Amino acid sequence: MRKLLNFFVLLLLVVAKEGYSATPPGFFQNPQASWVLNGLVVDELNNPVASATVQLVGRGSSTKTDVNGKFLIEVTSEADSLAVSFVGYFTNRVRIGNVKTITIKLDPDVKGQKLDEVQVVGYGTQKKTTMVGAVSTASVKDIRKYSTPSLSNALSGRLAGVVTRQTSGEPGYDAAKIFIRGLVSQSGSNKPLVVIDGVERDLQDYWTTINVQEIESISVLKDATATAVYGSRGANGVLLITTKRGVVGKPKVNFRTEAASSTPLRVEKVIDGYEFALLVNESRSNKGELPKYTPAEIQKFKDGSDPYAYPSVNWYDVVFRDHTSQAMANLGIQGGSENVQYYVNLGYTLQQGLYNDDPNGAYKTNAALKRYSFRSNTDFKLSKTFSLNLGVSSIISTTNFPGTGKDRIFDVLKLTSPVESPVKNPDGSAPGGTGDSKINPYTVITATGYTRQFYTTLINNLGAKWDLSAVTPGLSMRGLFAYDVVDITQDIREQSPGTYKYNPVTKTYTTINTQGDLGYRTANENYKKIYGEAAVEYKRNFGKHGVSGMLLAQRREFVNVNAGSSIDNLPSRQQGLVGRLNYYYDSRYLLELNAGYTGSEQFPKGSQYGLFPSIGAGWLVSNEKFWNTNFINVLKLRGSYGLVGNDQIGGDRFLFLTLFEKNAAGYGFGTNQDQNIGGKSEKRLGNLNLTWETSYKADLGMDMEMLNGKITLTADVFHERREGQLLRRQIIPIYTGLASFAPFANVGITENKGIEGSFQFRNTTKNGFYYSFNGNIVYAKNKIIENDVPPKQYPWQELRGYPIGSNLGYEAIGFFQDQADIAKSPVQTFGPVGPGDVKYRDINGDNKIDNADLTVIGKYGSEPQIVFGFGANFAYKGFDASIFLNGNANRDFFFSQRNWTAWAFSQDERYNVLQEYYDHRWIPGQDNSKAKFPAIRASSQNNYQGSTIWQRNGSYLRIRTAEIGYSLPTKTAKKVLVNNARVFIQGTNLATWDKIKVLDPESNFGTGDYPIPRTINFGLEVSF
Amino acid sequence: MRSIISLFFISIILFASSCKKDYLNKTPDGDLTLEQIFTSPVYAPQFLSNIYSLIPLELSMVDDPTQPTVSNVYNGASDDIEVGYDGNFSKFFNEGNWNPTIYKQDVWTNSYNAIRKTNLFLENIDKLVPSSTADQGTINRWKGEAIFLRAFFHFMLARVYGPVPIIDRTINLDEDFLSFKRQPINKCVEFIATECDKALPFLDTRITSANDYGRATKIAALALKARVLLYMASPLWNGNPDYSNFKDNDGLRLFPDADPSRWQTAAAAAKACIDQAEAAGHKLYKSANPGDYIKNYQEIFYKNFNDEVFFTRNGTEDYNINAYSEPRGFFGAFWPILAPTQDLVDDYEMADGTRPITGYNADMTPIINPVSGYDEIGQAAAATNEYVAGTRNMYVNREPRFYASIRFTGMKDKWTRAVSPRTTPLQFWKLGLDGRTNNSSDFYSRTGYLLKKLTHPDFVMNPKSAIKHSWIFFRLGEQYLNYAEALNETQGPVSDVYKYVNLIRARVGLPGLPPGLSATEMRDRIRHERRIELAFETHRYFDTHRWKIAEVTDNKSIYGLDVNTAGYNMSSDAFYKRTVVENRVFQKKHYLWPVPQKELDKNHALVQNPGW
Repeated sequence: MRKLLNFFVLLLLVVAKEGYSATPPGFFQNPQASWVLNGLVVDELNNPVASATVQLVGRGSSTKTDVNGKFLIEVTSEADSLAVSFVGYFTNRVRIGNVKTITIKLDPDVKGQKLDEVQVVGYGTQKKTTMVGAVSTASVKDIRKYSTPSLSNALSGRLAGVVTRQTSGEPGYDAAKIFIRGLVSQSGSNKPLVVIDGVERDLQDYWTTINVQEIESISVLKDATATAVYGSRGANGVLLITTKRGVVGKPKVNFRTEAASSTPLRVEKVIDGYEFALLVNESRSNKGELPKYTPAEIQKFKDGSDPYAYPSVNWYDVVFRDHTSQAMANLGIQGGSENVQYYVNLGYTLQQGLYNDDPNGAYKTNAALKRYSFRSNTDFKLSKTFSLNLGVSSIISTTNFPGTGKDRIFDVLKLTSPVESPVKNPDGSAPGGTGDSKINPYTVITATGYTRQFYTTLINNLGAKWDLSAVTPGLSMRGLFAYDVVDITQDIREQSPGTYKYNPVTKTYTTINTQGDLGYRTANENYKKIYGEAAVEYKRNFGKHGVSGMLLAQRREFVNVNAGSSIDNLPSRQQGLVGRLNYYYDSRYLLELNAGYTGSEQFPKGSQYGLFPSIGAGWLVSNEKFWNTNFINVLKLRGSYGLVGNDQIGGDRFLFLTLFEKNAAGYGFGTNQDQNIGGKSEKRLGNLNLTWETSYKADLGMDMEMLNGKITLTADVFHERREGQLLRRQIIPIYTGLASFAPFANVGITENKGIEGSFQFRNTTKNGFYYSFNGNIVYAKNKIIENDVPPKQYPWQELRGYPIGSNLGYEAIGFFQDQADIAKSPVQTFGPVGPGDVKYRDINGDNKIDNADLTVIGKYGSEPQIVFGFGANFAYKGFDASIFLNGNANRDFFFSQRNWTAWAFSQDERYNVLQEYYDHRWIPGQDNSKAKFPAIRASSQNNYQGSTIWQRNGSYLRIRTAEIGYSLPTKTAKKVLVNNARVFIQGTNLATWDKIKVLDPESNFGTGDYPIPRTINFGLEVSF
Repeated sequence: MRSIISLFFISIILFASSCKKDYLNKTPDGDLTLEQIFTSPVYAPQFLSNIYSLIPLELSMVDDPTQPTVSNVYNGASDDIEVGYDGNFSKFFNEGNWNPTIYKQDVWTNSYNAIRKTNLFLENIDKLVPSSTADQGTINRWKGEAIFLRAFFHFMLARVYGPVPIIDRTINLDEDFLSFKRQPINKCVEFIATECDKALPFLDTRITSANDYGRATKIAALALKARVLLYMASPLWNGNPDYSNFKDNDGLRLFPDADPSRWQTAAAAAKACIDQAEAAGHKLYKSANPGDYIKNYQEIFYKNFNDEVFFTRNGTEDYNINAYSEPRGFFGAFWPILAPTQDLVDDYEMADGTRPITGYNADMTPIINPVSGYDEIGQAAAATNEYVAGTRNMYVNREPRFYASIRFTGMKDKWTRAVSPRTTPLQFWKLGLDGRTNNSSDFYSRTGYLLKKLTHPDFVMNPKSAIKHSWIFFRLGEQYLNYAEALNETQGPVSDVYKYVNLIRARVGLPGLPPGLSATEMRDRIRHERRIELAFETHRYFDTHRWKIAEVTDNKSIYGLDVNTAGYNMSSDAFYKRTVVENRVFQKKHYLWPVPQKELDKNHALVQNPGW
């Protein structure tokens, strides 16, 4: 300890004054005669490796190999060693000795999970060996196997600890929900912070639209050590994305093109007109009423002999195509000289939607996304010590949507029964009725106009790096300025369709709705962000001691330019200081201190700033002398603890201000009651003690490499307690007059704990067959400790102790068998009940089922507790194949409780009915032992209570991606003037195993959404 | 090169230092503070105006969740009216399907929100320095209005919940807000009455400026006081044996023992109100042609701020009262749901003041008073101004207030209206012009009658005319009846009792009450007179409760005509057959509303009302 302290003091002095004279021997050596080492880096096949990093260990100087794999570096000591690293290869360390030329061979490390590589972390990079934080990285190669325009979907199951769920497949809106280690905040945002090329960039979820081909690496920071530097922004974890940069060498062109055919998954299956008519009669019979349809009429529904009077339409078939298409093309060029390196990329994505167009329609209404993405990253070396990097990226997309929003389309599909109306009238006009069926689903998607959405994103970085080795070795400064703009403009062309009711008897038409003109209006959203940072860094080794440190100041401003209110229009600002200190001893003991000191304008003056410190320590057991097993090559134990904040606490802005409503309701005095002088009222009570959510994160982890890297394993145990969650005070009595505008306070507490792990096994047989298996899993269990809800009258309604998102509902205990069963059961107070209706548990035993019997139903909440992914890769000669599966477990799923769901006649014998309901309903006089749904009884209040009858197990397993590829042998490739050519076929979402069956298991609670696609994707990738 | 680098870093430093020190202290411009509101003669009255906006919208008898305040659930839950809309809160009452967690009309929250505003106003209004915009007299008047409103909102609470916490100051977040308890009902009444007295010196006796109609006055305060004291004297609150053991957790009794002298207090308060009102020029409304009794009575309720009116809830827009009462036969009408009950129709006297029906047989056929000349069979031979020839005899020769209050089959409704007058009589049978159109139609008169009183005769549904209506909370006519009732309870049918009831009857051309009635007979007469005179003014709901007769009147079937069978016409006997519309449920616990469970959960010192 003492030694350590001395060392720190020493270090400070060194930084303060170069060449401190009391340097112990071995720390600094006097410059000796130096010479230039001429080197060559080759791969396992003795092919030169371009742009490999060659570092003079401990000297701070480094270079990159040229296109021929050659490098020159100035060496001062024979004792020095070189570390040569290149993505995809093990870093090779070579002691230089007394040579002038050297050839260094790199051993391939085909898969990413190496411990010995450079890892992007918050505000910098770190070597994986010396890291003590919990960070996982996804292989970009794997992510590219998921052919999707939304990056977040490609991450599903790939990163240990990352929970994703794709709820919708709508073009432009198909990004998955993403959480790191599950939900932790009850009220604030649970979204991770997304940092792209060093800058926080979550503008309208911009990151999900990034072209996957541009990405160099994706990693996720999970524990306090890794995230504390983000201070009051990092509690939900951080997703770090870096994009590709140029390398020294001749231009390397990579061209990739792919085209996919996609099929909607889990489109709701609904009953036909014949079944519908039978169901109506059954409902009436159950209610003791006379049938509505005669057998002859039912026959007409069945045989379709009179499709206008007795229609039978499957609206889902009418609205959706069987399959649609998607195409992506990408051209990337990388290259550069010693002084300028560049990376330029152009991508194009076309994603067609699933809606049918009207071939005779005046306009196209199918959803369709067209996106161009452009990126240019350039590094300039202006002098030996000063370099600039410029990153410019833009994404321009145009998306077409039907004039009616997606939600309404899916509503109408559920609201319209198969017998409601034909698709079109005999004369080709659109049919119409009254109420909900005024416009049928086909008319909704084809004739209500269209919306064209223009999405423009501009992302710019300018960075500078100044090597101050001249001041003291290992010292450098850098600065970064970023300016991002997102503009979303919509041209909205709405039209009210002309609809006509056709009378099949008189063959006449009645106008229901007269066709309106195609309207035009625009809507605009515009966001901009400015970010700046400046940092001083220090990194140096002193014999067995290694030290690095960083101090960084940053400032960020975000403006919603076209906001709806003057408050929302005010810029949101944060600024802060970040510090990091690493100390390594003898490649065995690792210590890392991090702190973020960040301030946010969300909080009152005087309490805007918070300090978020963390400490992490690691022990590389395998570097100890006593470690002499060859079986385990690397074993690292690490642990961390710290505080991280979350200022995305939800609610309005400036919650510390007491506000008065300027435009409160007034009162009309006077003879004509028109002397309204306006009103003023209290609007909000400010909370001057407002602060961020604070997360106390603990993490214990282990990294292991066995059998010379054939097996790698990482495992973590984590615990997080999130305090100070912003909730509106619920315990303030109403009679205070304050309850309606009760202040927000940092009162919520939740706890989240779990384990996660990932493993990889890889091997290449002697005859060149490569195979690998990998997998990861996270189990995170959260529970509400404090929600500020007054203690419930009935203890079984208490949500404390349950996961976030738990529900109250009734516990269904089956169906009433007969009248006698009803008579002897507690009275259900929701309306009349009959045989086959849902029977609920009388929890309080008062022989009556009412809202005292509501209880917590479900165990896990709306997001899964367990998320996993696993897969395998194979390669032999030019062929390669891979498969990847992912899934989740411990998630409750509820069919929607909304009263017009597809679940059979919750309203007056109307609305679509799911086949699932029809096939599994309780039917009078039949064997109902396997019935899953209650008897049909139109408008039953009893059956449509939120209850466990609508609950399903939300677990699933899915073949997320599978790929087969073939690369031309190098010689053949050269003949056609390319370096490399590969063709591939990919499939996504190929198969799903789950218990819900009728809806996608990833969808939100409810009745399904825009289906997610299964795609079969063909592609070609050429580089030259 | 070096210079470029230096310049770059210099500019970064400049950039960093040039930013304002309060980088994070940007907050909205133009915020309003409490200080600003109460030092401004413009803002302060706006704060008061906002309190007025929370006065219940009692002209709205159908739930309207878009309104910032509560509406009138009482009429639909009384035996006067059946609201033909199943989602209406009154429906939950009538079926007995309400409990401490089902609250569609949250009187508790609305009233306490308003009370906080009044307290905030009263605690801060003295900051306002008198000026030419608002002189001391004006400020005092505002203060009086706020004191009145605070009492008024406490009354809004007490009349449904009984004992409630009295909140006479603002409660801060840092105090023990759980120390508040429900106060005994007599304390609540005492608070309301005393506050009314306190407001008197600040208030104007009557509104004199046309721009101020709707503001509270001295007479309004006296009327509130008289009403709350009348309630206190009545059996529900005054020594109700059902509540003798109703105590809070500390053993405090929330209802006092009976004290007959409370009737005396109530009578005196009503008399004081009447005397001062009349001294200020208030009088029973008389139109230009008081001999047209029907029109005269109708006009009380739509000639806004006439001489009879003390205090109103002003409308900001055209209230749905007209739309919900408009027979379907009028162009554009589709919500005819405010349907008076047969029970009320039967209660209207004949034109000569005799009661047509004295009771009912087991099969609900009426026992007809033979001397009344009332007849349920046959049709009118001749038309009158009110109905066409062929109108059922049931509706013939009834007292003027019947024709001013009820729309019935055969009525000449709006025949003389200036805009698109109607030429056909009302027809409420199924498939009739104004009846139910088909089986799935939800909105129709479920009794065969629609509301006429309170509506405006010139209302046009389409294009909807914007008629500004006010709802009368207090009027002189009510005080006459309050006084008569209280006086009869304490002194028996003395001459003042006769005098004030007969004034009400005389206005509509009815003969006075027969002399020599016993106190009990007089009580029945007064109760009957209240039901007719004050019909649809929410009094019926509270009267049946405070008289403790709701367990009879609200615990039985509500009847109407047979509006659900097609094929009738104006002369179909079967159409006029009394038919059950709704089987109502009333249990003893329903006399008081339950305190919302969400409030009890927060403060365990609050006790729930008996039976809930």
